[in-house]
Amino acid sequence: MNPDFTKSMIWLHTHSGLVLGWLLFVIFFTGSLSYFNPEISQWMKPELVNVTSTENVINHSLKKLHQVTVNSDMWRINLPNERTQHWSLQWRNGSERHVLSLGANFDQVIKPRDTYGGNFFRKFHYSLQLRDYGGRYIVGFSAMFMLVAVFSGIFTHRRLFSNFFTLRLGKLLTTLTDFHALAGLITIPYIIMVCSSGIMIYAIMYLPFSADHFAGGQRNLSRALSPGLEVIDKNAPSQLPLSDFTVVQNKIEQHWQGQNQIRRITFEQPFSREGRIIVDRVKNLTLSKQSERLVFSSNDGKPLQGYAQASNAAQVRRIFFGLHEAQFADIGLRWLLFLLGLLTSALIASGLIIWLNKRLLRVKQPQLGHFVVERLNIAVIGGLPLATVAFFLSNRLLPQLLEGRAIMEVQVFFLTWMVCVLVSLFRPAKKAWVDLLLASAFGCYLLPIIDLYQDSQRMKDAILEVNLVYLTFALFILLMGFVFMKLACWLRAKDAA
Amino acid sequence: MTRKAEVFFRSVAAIVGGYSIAAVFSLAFVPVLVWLQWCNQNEAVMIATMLSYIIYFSVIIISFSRESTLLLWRDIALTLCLGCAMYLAMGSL
Repeated sequence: MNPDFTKSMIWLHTHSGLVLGWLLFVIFFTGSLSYFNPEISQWMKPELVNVTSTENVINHSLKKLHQVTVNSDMWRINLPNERTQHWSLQWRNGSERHVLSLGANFDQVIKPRDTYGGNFFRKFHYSLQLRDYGGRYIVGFSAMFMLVAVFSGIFTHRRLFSNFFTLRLGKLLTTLTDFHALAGLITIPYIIMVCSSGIMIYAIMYLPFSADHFAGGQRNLSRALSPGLEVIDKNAPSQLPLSDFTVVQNKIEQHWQGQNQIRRITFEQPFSREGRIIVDRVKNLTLSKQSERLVFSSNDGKPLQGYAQASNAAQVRRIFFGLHEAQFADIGLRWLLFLLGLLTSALIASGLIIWLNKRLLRVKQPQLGHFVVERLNIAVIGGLPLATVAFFLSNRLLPQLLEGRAIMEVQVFFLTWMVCVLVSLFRPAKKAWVDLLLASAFGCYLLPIIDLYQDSQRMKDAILEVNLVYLTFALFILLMGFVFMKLACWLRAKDAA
Repeated sequence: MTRKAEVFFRSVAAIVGGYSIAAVFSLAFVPVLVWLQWCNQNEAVMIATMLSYIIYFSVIIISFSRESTLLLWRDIALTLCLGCAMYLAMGSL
């Protein structure tokens, strides 16, 4: 519609950003939190104790499983690591599932509070709590939008070099515009990586035609590309599974060098002669979503035929998946990705606010569209951090033995968000911004205080055991409180223009 | 054409047209890959589907940068026909 390519890209940037900007903000914000999924879960279950140093964890687990289960169809041992601190056993009899969390001593069974933990953010990130209503399609569509917005953004803010060195702090609008260009420049590679890998996770689901036509459906295709193990004969004679893992352990050490290489051990049909053990390696050694696996017999620990090599195409997809989830990243890289994710959220937020403020300057009488954009900006950008803080607060404040506790935490999250919508509707714009930011700051400050007040032993233990996860969470939440407070004060002192 | 109508038709071209072209490509490129003996059919399905997202992205950008909306739609229609023809021709090989 414009003769000039650059001009049409500017138009595209302005409008594509606006249409799904709020959704993208939510997706990027919760996605960034998901990088620390196990850490957040650990913080939200303070009943967990440090078990990483326990000797002979696997044999203890087997002993316990032998004690408490009869004729199970599946056993699983989730080994603790620094990130989760969670040692748990799972077993399944038919469709009945059981979970047991273990403490530092063999006989100590712990009952962590009922919560979704960091997994709430992960689920919300890719399905928007609408998994059965096409949530994943909406997220994929937004990822495509984001790619378009970034591509056209390169042409919109094309003075790359000067953008990188400019941040004028005078007027609100110029500050935001400079920040937007600067943040965009820094996050371009990250956004392209994260959006394209995100789309690739569900590549076949979004465009199923080829798979349906040539391979007879998505499941058949994935089965053909990455074959699983043979189905175990259910009528095979029964036999007790091994109770000393040392045999298997020695064989594993020949394949996988180094300490603590096992992430998870699964027994399939442990009480059958055909039963087998699948050992999953830790995930931080490979870019791929699927870490290495070894298969042994569950009776005598003899190595069995392992998984067939997945085809190249399937491996490429797994690497995209792995890149997106970043399980490979060590702590430094994880923080970098997390901060880039937050910066992208800030980039989207600043873009939305710029769109509005530029138009408000131009028109004398704000129209309905401007009103809607303004309210949505406040409710979504100001409301989501507050809802997140409320989610954390509810984790500490709701009684531990409450029925349906996990769901209630989620309800608190959404109720707080609803309140933010109301605040945005009934308060003048600037006051609403300041209110929400100050409320978030207050919540952030309150969180460690409540934690300390409820049980100061937690903090003492964390310091004594140098539990960095726990300490960093507390410090980071205080820092965020400070940032929100500063932002609120800065905004209050600023002219709207 | 009014500006609003133009934006509408271009958006439809980008979202629906782009998706259709990507879908047709993901179907039509599979026999090509198999014919060239680069990989087996299942792998070709995966590769063609993954590549089709690049096509989708390009169509979106072209939809908003092409000067004439009419020519844009003509090209989308032609590309769709070409894809179908390719699929039929390769399928009969």
